[in-house]
Amino acid sequence: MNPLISAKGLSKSYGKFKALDAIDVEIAPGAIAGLIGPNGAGKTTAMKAMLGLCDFTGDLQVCGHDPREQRHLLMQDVCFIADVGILPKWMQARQAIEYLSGVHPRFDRNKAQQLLAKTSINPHSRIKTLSKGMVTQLHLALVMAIDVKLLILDEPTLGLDIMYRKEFYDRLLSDYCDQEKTVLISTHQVEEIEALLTHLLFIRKGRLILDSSMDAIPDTFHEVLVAPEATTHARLYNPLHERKLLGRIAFIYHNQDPEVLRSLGEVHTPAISDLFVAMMQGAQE
Amino acid sequence: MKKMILKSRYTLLGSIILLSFLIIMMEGIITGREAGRLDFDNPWISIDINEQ
Amino acid sequence: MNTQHHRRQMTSLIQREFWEHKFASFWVPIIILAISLLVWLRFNLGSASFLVDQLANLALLPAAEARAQATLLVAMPTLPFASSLLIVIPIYLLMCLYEDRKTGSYLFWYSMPVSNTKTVLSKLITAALLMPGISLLIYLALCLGIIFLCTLTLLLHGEPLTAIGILLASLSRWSVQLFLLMIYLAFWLLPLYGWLLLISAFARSVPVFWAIGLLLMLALAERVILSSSYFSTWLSSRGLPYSEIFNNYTNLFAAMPWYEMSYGLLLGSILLAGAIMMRRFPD
Repeated sequence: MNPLISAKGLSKSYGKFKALDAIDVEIAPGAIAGLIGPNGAGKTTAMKAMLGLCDFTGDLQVCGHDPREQRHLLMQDVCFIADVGILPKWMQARQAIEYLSGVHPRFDRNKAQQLLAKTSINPHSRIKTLSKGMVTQLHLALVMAIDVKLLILDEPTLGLDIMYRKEFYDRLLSDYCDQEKTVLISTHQVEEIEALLTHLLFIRKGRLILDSSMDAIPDTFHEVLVAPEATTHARLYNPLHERKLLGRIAFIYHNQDPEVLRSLGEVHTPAISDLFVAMMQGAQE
Repeated sequence: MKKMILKSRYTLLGSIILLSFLIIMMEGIITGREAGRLDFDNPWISIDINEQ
Repeated sequence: MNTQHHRRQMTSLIQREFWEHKFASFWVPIIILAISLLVWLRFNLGSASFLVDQLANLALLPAAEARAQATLLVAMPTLPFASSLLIVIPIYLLMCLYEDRKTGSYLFWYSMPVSNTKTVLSKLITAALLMPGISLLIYLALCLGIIFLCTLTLLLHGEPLTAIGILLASLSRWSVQLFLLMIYLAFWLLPLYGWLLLISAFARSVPVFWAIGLLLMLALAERVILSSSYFSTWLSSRGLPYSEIFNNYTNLFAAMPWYEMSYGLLLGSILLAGAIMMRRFPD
């Protein structure tokens, strides 16, 4: 199958600062991909480029369109939720539904009204009077009523209470996502979405430092708990990262023979958040 | 050409202004509308109530 | 996509403009209406007999003179409406695309399947037709209200209603004239509208500064570098419409400055195309 998103040499600079530095990536239909990186790594810029919201150099195709030239066609297939409340403040919930049903050919007005009825939002209240959690609920209700191929979420739960956060992902994944939908989520809180992902992308200073399916992680990355006296030996095998853990040292290795590693100590698959820290720091050195 | 114009918002603005300006200049030269003919005879809508 | 889809999108886009700018496009004319009506009442209803005398006088005048007097009466409330539009419309055009980007909700507008062309055209239609159209309707409502009050006064005094017929005839003529003027201005001012939209899409801060400053700079640059002033001459000739149009509305086609009109449309279209392309650079 053709990839839904395909980028080749995707770059974007602001003056001398390279926000995106020659990114090559392909995301297959049906994937739930996490774009993970620290603040300022280029997550938002990458997503904006994919949505045709900023200029870039290199090749980029999203749902078969060039985002710059065919943004309005692309947007029939793509939905977008960002961290900041992007719904216009003067608008009423009712008006947002009205507007979308006029403008978006894939918007299901009844579905949106049903979803909105499940929340405590008054359709006549203006968005500026709603709390941040409610705005996100409203946005999610609007987005879930649109039948699109690709959903792009930029730190969707940033600044929300833990309750809203959990509900957000629960509703999104149980009610909305199926085999045909592709999702690209960016976050710097990996734990939150770890269980949902089928694909992992780590980004750092505008460069993609990891591009792997979740299934491939256990085969390529290993964490070994090494006793303190064996650390010198363990360091010989080129670990990505090491840290102290309950009196032992945890080493993370990339592409090392598991047999060899087992001789060093207890081997298991690293948690994504540990892997993230390892790769971010590893790349620094 | 298209790439150059759409390189940034400044090049785009510059091109649009240049194009419009050249058209105005050329039209002015061809039709002989010249400087100094600033016509302020009719700066406002005059309402002629004695209509025909 | 079929035409029905395009029409639906356009309707929604214009409706959105109306929602967002309800104050400028609806409440401002309503407020002006209320004030005009109060002023009128203050001067006329205080002394009903004066009004009756005036209206009776109107009925006695020779036909042409009576029409002229009546037109003057119904045309009077036009001025406050027209002058408020002269302020509201340029500000709206200069701020609309700028604010779409500035308020953080640009991500919302830009993530809609709406082409840049439609977005810009919806703003243009709102400014050139919707806002003056609403004002015109409100103006009509005001005039009809006043004529209704005149009718009541005459009936109460047992006078004949001849003057009312004259007033209504003048009002309908004047309204047609205003409607034609509105359509005419929408085209005549296209270069100005295009320019304001272009700057609105371009500016990252203080669009007023860019809109006025760039024109002054261009005029100055031409004067200094080329020592000619084609640009400023043209600019000032465009300031306001030809009054011939206004007076010869019965023969609009003959009075239309066709050459100037099409020349303006050409420049306006270039500027509009620029505004549409400028929307590619949201940040």
